Amino acid sequence: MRTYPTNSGPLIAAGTVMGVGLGGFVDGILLHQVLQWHNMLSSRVPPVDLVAMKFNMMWDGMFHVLTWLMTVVGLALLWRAGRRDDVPWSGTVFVGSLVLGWGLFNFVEGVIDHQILGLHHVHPGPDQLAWDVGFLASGLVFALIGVALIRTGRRAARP
Amino acid sequence: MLVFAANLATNCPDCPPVRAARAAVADDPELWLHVLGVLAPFCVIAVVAGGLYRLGAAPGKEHRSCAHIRPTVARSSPPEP
Repeated sequence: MRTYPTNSGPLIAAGTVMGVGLGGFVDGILLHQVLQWHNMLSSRVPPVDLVAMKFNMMWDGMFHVLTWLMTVVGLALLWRAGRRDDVPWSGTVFVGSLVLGWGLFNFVEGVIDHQILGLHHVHPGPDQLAWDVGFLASGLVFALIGVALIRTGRRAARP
Repeated sequence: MLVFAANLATNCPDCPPVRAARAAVADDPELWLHVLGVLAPFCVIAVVAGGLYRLGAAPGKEHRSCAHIRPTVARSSPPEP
């Protein structure tokens, strides 16, 4: 009797966790460092002098520690998934999971850090609410695209 | 800017701004709020990923498959002699 791999869970979980880590790196590298729109605590301790900047840099570092850990955990989960015979190896499912993870990161981080705790805003200024809402919307859109890709990948595995 | 950076590199890590920054970090009155803010999104998403791990294991409609995916031998099969 022959059976076929049907357990997508480990691959989806690996991609999602890795997507969270990589999405966090996009936020940290692009928005914190390259564009310098905000820092981790810039709404509570505005980086207006070197002391405040270093304070924010320390917390940006903590944020990057967590994104790095998520990426490593995602890689370990992917490695384990790849060694299992019951996991269908689908690039579409994996890419969808990465995009889902990135979207989840944007949405959850946006809700908790921007809206509830007010630690920072995407682009502080008169239009900061619009930027925050746009960030949340990007999270939802990415998550929906990710789910669609995962469904497409799983459907392709059917006869 | 370059002079400032060179001066910083020469005098730090023991220059007054850095000592002040270290003190500010050490005396952070809202340390736990900040820890919560950094950690919480990752904790929430880790729980979601755990749920996806289990949801993806549900058989759903994928009992049968086709030739383009990797076949495996059923665990119930007796081992080869």
